Amino acid sequence: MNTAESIIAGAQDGVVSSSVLAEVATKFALPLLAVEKIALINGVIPRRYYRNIGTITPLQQLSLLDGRCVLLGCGGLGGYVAEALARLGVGYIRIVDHDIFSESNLNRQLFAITSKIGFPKVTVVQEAIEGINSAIKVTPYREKLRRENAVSLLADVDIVIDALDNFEARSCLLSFCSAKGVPIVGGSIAGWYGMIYHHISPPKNLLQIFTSLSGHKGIEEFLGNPSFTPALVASIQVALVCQIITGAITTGGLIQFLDVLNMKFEKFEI
Amino acid sequence: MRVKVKLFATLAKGRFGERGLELNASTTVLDVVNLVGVDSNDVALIFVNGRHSSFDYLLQEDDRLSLFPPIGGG
Repeated sequence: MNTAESIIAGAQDGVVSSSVLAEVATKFALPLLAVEKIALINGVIPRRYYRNIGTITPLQQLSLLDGRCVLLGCGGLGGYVAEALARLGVGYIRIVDHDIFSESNLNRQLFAITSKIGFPKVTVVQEAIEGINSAIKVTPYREKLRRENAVSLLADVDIVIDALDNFEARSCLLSFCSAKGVPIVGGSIAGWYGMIYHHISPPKNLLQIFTSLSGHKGIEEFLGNPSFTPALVASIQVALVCQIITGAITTGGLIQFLDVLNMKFEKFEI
Repeated sequence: MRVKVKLFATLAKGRFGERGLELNASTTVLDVVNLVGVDSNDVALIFVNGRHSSFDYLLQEDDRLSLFPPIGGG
């Protein structure tokens, strides 16, 4: 039996378990991700993605496994984004953050747990999301995004995800994505409020918006960031990433604002 | 002329979330910001009729102006 035949033989009602896929991967000396892709190509759903199907087609699941993204920031937004990407089955996730977990992160950051205080965020997040999905490839970079390292940190991905915490770094990110025409999905939070932006081919005016904000301190300086807004904004970001990778969004962009104090949601085209 | 003004998040505190204002012709976005008592340094994003705009935009009858503070946390 070849790889596909082995997967089909181990499947039940068109669904195959991780243990069968792992056996096939070992037998044919293939990465688990490659075996999952062969399953989907042959109409068999890996059970770990079974509950994605219906919202996502098997072919879209395949494009997610083929998806390559870079996530800037592994804090409040980034932790939730990383987790959701891993569960969704995005095949390659590069994570970038220079920071370590500290006590003041415990109120909101998914992977900030007391035993990990003082540990690099990228190391903790990598370990956690590989524990969720061992098939995907996670590459950590404990670095701060700067103009000098932007090209190497952002190269060779389908989509850039901004989960940063300052406008200077966002401006640097937008500058790269605008010049190279790389899709971007960004989020930011403050108190009861959130902002989400995305664009398939970021235009100059989006870059100008963030460049003009470079001098500003965000209102999070005095509102703080409570536990509930990061998960909300991060989930919207991942919904957009999912739609971009699977081809449901192919053009344009939006800036959206969330206000969960007054339960309002506003969106503007960019 | 009548213009609808929306203030988001901290900009609405002690003011209003949404209000129709009767304005003279030749009123700019900056004039409205001053009129409602918002410090222009606190305004990060300006949208008019759903499009990104600027302080010097000359408002027109029935325009919808939305002002946002900077939201930067991650």
